[in-house]
Amino acid sequence: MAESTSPPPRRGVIALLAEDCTSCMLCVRECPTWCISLDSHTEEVAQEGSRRPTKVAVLDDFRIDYGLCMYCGICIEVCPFDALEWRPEYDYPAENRAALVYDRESLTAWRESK
Amino acid sequence: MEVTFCSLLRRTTMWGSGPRTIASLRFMWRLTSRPSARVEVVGAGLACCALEVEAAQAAGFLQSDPGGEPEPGPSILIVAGTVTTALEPAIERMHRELATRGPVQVLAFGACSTSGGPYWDAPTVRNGIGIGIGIGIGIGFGSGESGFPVAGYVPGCPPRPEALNAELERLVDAMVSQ
Amino acid sequence: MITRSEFIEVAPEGWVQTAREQRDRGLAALDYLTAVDRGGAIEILAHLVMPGTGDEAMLAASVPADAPRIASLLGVFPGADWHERETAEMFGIEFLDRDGVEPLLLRAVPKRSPLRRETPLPERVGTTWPGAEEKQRRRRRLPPGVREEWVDPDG
Repeated sequence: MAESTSPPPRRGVIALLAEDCTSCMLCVRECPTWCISLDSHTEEVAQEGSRRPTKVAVLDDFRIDYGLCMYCGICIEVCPFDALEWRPEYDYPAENRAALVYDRESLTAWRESK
Repeated sequence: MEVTFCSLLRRTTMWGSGPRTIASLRFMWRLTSRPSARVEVVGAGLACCALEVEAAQAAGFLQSDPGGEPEPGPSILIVAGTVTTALEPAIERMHRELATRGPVQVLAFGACSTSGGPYWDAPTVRNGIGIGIGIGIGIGFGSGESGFPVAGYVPGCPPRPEALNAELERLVDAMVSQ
Repeated sequence: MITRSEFIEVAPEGWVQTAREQRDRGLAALDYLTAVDRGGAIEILAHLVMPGTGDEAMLAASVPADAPRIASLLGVFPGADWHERETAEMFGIEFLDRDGVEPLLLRAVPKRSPLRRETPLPERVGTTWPGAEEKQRRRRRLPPGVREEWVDPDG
């Protein structure tokens, strides 16, 4: 049986570090295939010593459609907060198109991929 | 009769004033890691993804069919690359001819055959070979009513040969166990 | 080795002669011929290269968008054939003094030239852009690749 002797890919899948995402939507807008979308809302957070509360963006959900993704990496390059990163996992087929849309939870899980 | 992708192309596609001849290519194999499974693997190599299918052969994951008359039996049709409106009839014809020999499982290999990929917005590109309008982000002009029942979608642009091998193993195992 | 790179603006009437002059001085390879829709005018571009040194020249001729005609370079560069066929079908350019301008890539001559500015790209106009930010009550943006005039203001 043939064994793979090639090194693991640098560009296998894209993982999300949700704690660093500010919902700025730069990745969403720059993606050439429009395969990224996100939901967010703003919350007011009271700041001690400040007269007015701050408005903070809170990420609700983040999706990448790997059926459309062309693995260009523009989203990773453009993110000002390094909230997206390459991971080496490359084997994640699906039986239908919907199963290729990864949400926040599954994109976060990719961080463990080796 | 040997089913070759480009002989079908010659017969079904017309450009300009008449049919043109493309060099005949053969893409028929068996899966190396499942030697006892009598499943034919046929590749429709349409664009860059075809190179990864060929790399899978070069790596030994696929073995060339020894030749002679193809036997009746199940087959897997790998659609590797962008399906344009001009090429759709050829793929459909290929599927029909394979289906005369046994059940055909269609594998969408890569972003283009899954969704249109980087060329999703081109008017001449089909947004994936699956049936119906795909659900998910960014699918507006979908595949419509025509299309194939797709057994598996392998994401990647292009996917690695190892990903192809893994998915073929899964499909063959599922076919054999039925 | 320093290579020379020139951008030469040419009047449409001098298109063939300039190409011949550049070819005869050594830029014997036609790299590509294409066009750019500048709005109101179409700029025809021919990129010539000197084999061996890499010296290059970009010839540019501007023709009106509503009268897009220019002489064919077939007599100077036989390799211009497919480039002119593609430019003709994509931009609606009429190449004079040659025949056989049938579509190269498209199955038929399209009603609207695909690469003209006023030809909308329906897939981009008709697909919901995830970057539209409608939920955040900001000014609605147009996605990249969609011109304002393609979008119905009431839609």
